[in-house]
Amino acid sequence: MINLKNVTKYYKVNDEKKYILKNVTLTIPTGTNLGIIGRNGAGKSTFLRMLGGIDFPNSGRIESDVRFSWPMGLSGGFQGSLTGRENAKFVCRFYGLSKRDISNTLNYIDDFSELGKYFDMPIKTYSSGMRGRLNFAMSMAFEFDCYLIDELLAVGDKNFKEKCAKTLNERKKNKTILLVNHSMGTLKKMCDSGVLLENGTLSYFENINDAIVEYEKI
Amino acid sequence: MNKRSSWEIQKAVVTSLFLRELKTRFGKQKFGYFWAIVEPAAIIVVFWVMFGFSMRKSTTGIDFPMFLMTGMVPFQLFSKIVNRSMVSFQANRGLFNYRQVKPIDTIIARVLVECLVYFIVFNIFILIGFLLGFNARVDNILGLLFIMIELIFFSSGFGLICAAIGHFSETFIKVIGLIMRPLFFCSGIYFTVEIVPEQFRSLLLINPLLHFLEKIRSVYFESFYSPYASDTYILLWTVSLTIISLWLYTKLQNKIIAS
Repeated sequence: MINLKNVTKYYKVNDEKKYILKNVTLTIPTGTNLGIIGRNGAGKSTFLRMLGGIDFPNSGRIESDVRFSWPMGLSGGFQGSLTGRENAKFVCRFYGLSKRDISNTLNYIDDFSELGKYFDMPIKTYSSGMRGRLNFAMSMAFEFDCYLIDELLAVGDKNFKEKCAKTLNERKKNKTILLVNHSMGTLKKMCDSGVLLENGTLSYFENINDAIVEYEKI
Repeated sequence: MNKRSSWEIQKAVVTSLFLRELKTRFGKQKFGYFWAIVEPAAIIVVFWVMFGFSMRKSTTGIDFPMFLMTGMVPFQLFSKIVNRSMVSFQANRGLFNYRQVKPIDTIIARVLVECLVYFIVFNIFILIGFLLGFNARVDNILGLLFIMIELIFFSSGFGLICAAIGHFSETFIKVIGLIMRPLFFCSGIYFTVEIVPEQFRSLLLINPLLHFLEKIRSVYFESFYSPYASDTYILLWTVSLTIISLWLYTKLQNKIIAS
């Protein structure tokens, strides 16, 4: 359950307030895969970041009993001079994993990312594709209730992309995703329900198709 | 993964950041530890050669190299804490994508690293002092510990304020950089307040660092008495900077994360 209570969020553009949410009170049921729909600049990514706890409403409160992932695809604050393993270990540490869990998680990331010997080399030697793979592997290595995905569903070459999709679909069996995407096809395929973000209002649709129909009217 | 209290989370974050900083700063190729010792040592030697002959033990009752050392190390600690804190938000920006990592944690971790480094450096210099036959005994260890803790809070508070304001203004960081340089020359690293001509004393004594250094020497060496270092002035600066910095930070925290 995500509870929004009188939530207002705006950006100041040339001293003019541009509203993303204007005094929105809404309860969004979770437990289903949720797609966020809206035009460019409607504030989809901002909404996702607010759920991820790294952006904040100007007023009002957002409450939730769901453990959200960090927004996937955002480059994860890698320290270039440290190795992929060291960077991953750092995240494991502050997530409070035990020694054994850290070692398991690192093995998973090592295995999933297919970085091979690069996993033990400084991140600054990585190509952007390799960074993306490490990033994706790290998101998948942690068990969250809900994965926040901003556009990026898969990274790497064709084979790796297929692996990403497969893993995500498997994960969806007992966890959920919250997806920002511009492709209506992808949204229909990946999500069950939808949230439409438009002109500072937020509306919830139990069926993603209804949300898309509504979106196409505007 | 169980639900953790915010204190547990912060502890885990600071610990992991601390280890990460150590690894980054003092990785194999970087000679980080080496420089932490060589830099102040080089300055001490230069000043020793420059002033050593004119400034005799009699003026302060302290061996001149020890006099320099007890000024250099605390000053370096201050300046490193401020400089490292100041750019900490910028350097760790990508980490704020993880909701567990609060900007202030990155500063706490950096301050802890500097404290560890300069604790070791201080001890090495004391040891070298003994080996060279100087009077290097700390006369009031508890007093020294207390004033050093005050210095750490003072520096961190100052660093946090600079970081918070500097996050929104590049110019501010540059201005602070400009202020830091003359501080080296007017904080009493190589002189005592006593030898400053009387008409300049009150002006120089506005600088809290001068109070800190005089005070540090007077607890380190029983023979050194400073009527100028004011405990109240030091405490006032320390407490105000700590409170103001935390107040400012809480106001700006969310903006810093979201920006």
